[in-house]
Amino acid sequence: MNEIDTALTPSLQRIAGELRLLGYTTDVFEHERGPVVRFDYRVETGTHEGEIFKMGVCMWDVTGEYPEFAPHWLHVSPPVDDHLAGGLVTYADLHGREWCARSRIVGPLWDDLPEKSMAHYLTEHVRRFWAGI
Amino acid sequence: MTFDVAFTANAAAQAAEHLLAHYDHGNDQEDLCFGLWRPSSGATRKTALISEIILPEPGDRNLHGNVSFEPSYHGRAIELALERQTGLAFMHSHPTPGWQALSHVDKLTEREVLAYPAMATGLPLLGLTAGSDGYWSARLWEKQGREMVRHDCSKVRVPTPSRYWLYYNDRLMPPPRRRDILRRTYDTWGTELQNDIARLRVGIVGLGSVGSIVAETVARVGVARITLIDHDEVELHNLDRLLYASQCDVGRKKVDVAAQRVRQHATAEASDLDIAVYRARIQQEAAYRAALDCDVLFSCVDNAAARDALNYAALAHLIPVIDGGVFAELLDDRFHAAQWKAHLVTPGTRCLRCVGQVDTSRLSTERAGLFEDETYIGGLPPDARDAHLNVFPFCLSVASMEVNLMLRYCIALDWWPRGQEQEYQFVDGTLTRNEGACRPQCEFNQRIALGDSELPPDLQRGDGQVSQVRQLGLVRYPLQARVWRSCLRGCGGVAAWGRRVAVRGWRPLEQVRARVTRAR
Repeated sequence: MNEIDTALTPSLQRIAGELRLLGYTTDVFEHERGPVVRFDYRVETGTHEGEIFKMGVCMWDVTGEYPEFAPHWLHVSPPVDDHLAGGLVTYADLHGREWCARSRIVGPLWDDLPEKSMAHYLTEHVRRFWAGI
Repeated sequence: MTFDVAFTANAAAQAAEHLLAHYDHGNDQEDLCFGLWRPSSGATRKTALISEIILPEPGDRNLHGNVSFEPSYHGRAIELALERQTGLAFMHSHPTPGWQALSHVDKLTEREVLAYPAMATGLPLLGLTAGSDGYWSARLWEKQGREMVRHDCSKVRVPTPSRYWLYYNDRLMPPPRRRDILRRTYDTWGTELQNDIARLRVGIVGLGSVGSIVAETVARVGVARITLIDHDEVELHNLDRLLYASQCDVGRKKVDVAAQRVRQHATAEASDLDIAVYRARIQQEAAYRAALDCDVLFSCVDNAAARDALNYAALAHLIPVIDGGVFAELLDDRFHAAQWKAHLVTPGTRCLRCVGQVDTSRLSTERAGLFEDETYIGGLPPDARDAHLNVFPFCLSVASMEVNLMLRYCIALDWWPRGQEQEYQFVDGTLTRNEGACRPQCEFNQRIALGDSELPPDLQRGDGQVSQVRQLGLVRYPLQARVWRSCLRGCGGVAAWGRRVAVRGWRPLEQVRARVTRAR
C-alpha cells in the first residue's frame, strides 16, 4: 500500500491499488466533497484519441463499497464536455489546473460484468465516456 | 409470537445424512449432533437460522440404541458458538416418522443439561429432532424468570435451490379442512401438498400491476395467511393494469383495495383467513419485519432499493423471494420487442444483483436520494433509464409465471430439472429456463443465514410498531454469559455445569449422562 493511501477509505485504497497494478501512477487530491484518486490516462477512442488527460475517480454519492458499487463521478483535466445532462462540478487543484467532475453512473453493465474491477471500469465505462466526446 | 426454524440446504443435508445414516442402513440406532444458529426477528415470528453443523468426532458420543454425548463434545460446541457469536442447537434422531414429541428423558436432557449452559451464548437453546423419514421438529428453551420455558416451533423450513421442504407442527398449525370450493386444486396435486401450500404465509411486496394479480392468484389457490405491503395509492393511469381497481378506487391505498379483493375471493376458510396489511415501503422497518414473518415473498416492486431489501430477506433470512419483471423496447418510438422473466432467489441460486434485477448504480443513486434529481436521470446511460413500459396482458403473464414458480418450488419431485429462472420472449414466443449461481465475489454470498446482523443498510426506523419488535435474543444474559465463559476456561468445560446442577439439588451431570431416548 502506498503511504498516501492510508488516509483513504478502503474503497479508494482498493481502487488506487488496482490502478497501480494496471501500470498507472496515482495520487490523491483532497476535494471538499471527498478524496479523488487521480492518474494520467491515454484516451483510446473519440475525438481526443491518443491524447493524455488527467483523470480522477472518487466515491462521492456512492452508498456502498467498491467493488460491489462502482465510482460514480468522473474527474477530467483539462475539462471536457460530452454534451449529456447530469451533475457537474468544476474546481482547480493545488497546481491551478482546471478540473471538471461529471456525474456518470455506470449503469447495469457494472452488474453484468464477470468481475467488477478497475480494468473493466476503464475498458467499459471510461471508454464509453470518451467515445461520446 | 410464533417460533420457526430455517436451515440452509447444506446444513440440512449434512445433519440429515449424519442423523439418519443408521436408519438408511437398516439399523434402529439413534444419533445426535450439535449446530449453530442465528436469530431472525420478524414482527410476530422469531426464526432460528441454522447454517453450520458440528459433527461428532470419534469418542464424542456413545451409541447404544439410544445415544449419549460426552461433555467434551458439548463443551466444544459451546466454545464454537461463543466464538462465532451464535446460538447452540442440539439435534437428535428418532426411529419414528413425522413431527416428534419429546420423551421425559429428551426433555430432561434439553432443559436441565443443555439449556442452561447454552445461555452463555446469549441465545436460547434450540432443540431439534429428525424423524426416521427426515421430518424435522423443533423447540426453543428460553429462561423466563426462574423457569426454563419451552416454545414449540410451528414449522421447520429448508429452502434448497430445487425444492422448498416444509415440516409443519400439526398441533400448532393444523392442516386446513378440505373444502369443496378447492376440490379441483386438491385433485390436482393431492391433499398433502395442498396442505403444505395452504399453510404458508405468503408476502406480496408491491400491489401494482403484477402484485395485484399475484395476490388474487395466491388467495384462490387456498393460501390463508397473506401479507400485503405497499405505500402507494391508486392513480388514474394505473387503471389499465390494476386487476382489482376501478375509477372509484382512485386515491385509495393500493394495499387496502387489494386486501378487500383478496378477502372476497380467498378460497381458504373465512375463520382461517389472516390478511396483514402494511401501508409502507419495504425499506420501512415495520414493513420489513412483517416481510420477515413470511415463508415466501413475491417481489413486485419497481425500484432497486426495494429489491435490494428483499435480497437481504432471501439470503440473510432464508425467505425465498420470487421476483419478476417486464422489459418492453421501443425503436424510433414504436413498439419493437418485449420480454418478461421470473426467478427464484434463495441460497444456491443467483441473487437479485447477480441476476441483473438490482442495478447497483441505480441502487446507490436511490439510496443517496438523487434519483428524483432530473440532472442525474439525464446523465444516465440509455440502458439505465427507467422505462415503465407495460400493458395488462404482459403483467398477467409475468404474475402467472411467478406464482407457478412458487407452486413448482413447493411441489417439485426429485427428477424435475431446476427451474429457478424463466424468461419469455414475446416476439419469438419462446420460454427459456436458466439456472446459475452468484458471481464468486458477490457480497451476498457472505450474508447467507446471518439473520438480524444483516439488515438492509437503508432500513428506515419506523413508526411505533417497530419499537415493539423484540429481537430474537429474547432475554440477553450478560452475567450468565460471563459466568459460563469463565467456567469453560477455568474448569475445563462441562464439569462446571455439573456443579451448578448439583448446587440446585439436581443430579450431577455424570448421572444424567445426557441420554436421549425415543419419543413414545
